[in-house]
Amino acid sequence: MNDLILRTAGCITPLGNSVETTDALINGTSIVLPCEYKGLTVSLAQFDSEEKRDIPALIEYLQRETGSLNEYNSPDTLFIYAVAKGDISPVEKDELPEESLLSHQVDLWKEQLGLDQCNTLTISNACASGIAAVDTARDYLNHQLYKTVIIAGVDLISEFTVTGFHSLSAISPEGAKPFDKNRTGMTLGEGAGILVIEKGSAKSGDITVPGSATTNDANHRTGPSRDGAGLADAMNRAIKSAALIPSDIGAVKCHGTATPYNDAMEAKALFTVFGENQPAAVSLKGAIGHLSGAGSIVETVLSSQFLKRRTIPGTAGFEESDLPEPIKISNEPQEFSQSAVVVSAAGFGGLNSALILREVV
Amino acid sequence: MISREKFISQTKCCDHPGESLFDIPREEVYPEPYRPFGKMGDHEKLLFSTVSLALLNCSLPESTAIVLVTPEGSLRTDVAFMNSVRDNFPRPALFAATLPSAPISELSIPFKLKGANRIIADNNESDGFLNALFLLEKEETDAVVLAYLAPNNGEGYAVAVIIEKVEDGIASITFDITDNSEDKTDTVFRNAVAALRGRNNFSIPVIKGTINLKVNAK
Repeated sequence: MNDLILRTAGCITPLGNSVETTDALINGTSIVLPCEYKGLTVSLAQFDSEEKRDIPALIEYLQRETGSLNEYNSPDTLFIYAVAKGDISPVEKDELPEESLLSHQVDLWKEQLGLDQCNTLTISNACASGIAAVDTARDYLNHQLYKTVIIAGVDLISEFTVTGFHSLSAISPEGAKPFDKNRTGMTLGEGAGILVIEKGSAKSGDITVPGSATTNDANHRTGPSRDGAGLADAMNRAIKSAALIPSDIGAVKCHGTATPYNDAMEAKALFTVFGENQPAAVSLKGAIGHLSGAGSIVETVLSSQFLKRRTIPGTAGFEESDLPEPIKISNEPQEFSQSAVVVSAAGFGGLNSALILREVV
Repeated sequence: MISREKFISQTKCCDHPGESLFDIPREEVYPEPYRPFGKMGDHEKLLFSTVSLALLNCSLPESTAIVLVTPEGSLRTDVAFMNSVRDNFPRPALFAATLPSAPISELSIPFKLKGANRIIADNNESDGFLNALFLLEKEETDAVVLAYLAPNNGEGYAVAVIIEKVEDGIASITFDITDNSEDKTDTVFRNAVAALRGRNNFSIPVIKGTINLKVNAK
């Protein structure tokens, strides 16, 4: 009864649900497009209609994949909302700012998901929120405070986020090219995801979450450390807490924003952890963009699919490396044999996070 | 085993009613010249000052974790940034602070705190305390800075609690979590916050006690 089992996982991206998105990624499909947005030349990975940015509609779509969560509607379930900005539209519309409080957003999710009897918690570790929420969930479950933890998150493209990242000169006008020497910046994306984690006895075929960790670079408000030590520390701690060693890891889902400092930092972190025996590594942001706080939830959902298939997709936009270390960024689908993968994410404030997904064989 | 705690409040919040809450001279809270101090936003300055006071005469290891409870998150910065967008002069420095986690770097960088971080963006201060204890149980964490930040339209306050792990810890905070009532977790942090809310003139109370964590399975 000591395994933390990923009972249900679902997501929506502009490429579809988790299965559709995984198929598309492995087939080399990207939804990233250059475009004009409110007079700004940017690249975005957007939903094809405004209706899909409606939170109730998004939740309904998510539930088509996860099924009803009503069976979890009890005080034995903790609902964690993992978010950076979520739905910032009330601030954009100059409505009552209280409507934009994350605690207000969590109430909407709770109501829409039919989880009114659950306690809630809002975790907001910037773009590392999803993995930080899983890390938190593991503690609540390991202390037997709850039987189930449901983690959900959403981030939507908005004037607020596009203008903000554009003002930081961070958005590529052509599309993110993670780890590529011709990178020109990041691409914003949008989507939502749900994870349901329970403590129990895992059986063959179950995906478990045996390890996770967060750390801080203590280096810069918005930029990553230059040496990758903080992310390496998070990955090492996650691997150790899963009672694994680096050679047990078959693949790494990188943060991979396609900014020069991030890419170099991640290469150093991966080399620190895995040395000469690098697993295949992938960034999804050249295909589905950067989903901010919801990113690491959605990418965890997708990584569970990669693990089931023992295949990671190629990194869209990656052709030629200029990285400081010889890591193995995939430029086409890569198979692996091990039963565990690392999912990593980083965020403003020097926040690093990593988790381990493992399939019971 | 957790055996020592310090409750330390930020002294300047309510010392001079009517003065700007955030008009805090750096030299009163941090001994060294620190250039970023003058550029900090309200949230960051209040939090930095509070934690600086909490850390007076206290040196923490690099592995120290931070748990921040921030019910309002970055709402006021969000509104300020959106106003700059409407004025056609979006301010990148403001945008970088439009995250509930933004104040974390104002603690991690000057105090060199590289441990785990959890940012709770709602009013669950008792869960903040619980998460601090979760982290302290981990092998790699020897201390946690637990901070509660409530700017509340310039009338607010911040509270910082430093919890350290020591080898000869002996006593306990008991968490009664055998049911699911609202006060099922701890009352210590909640009571500390409530007590501070009711006071007009903060001193720097340091409550040293011996505590131990008892978590009952359901």
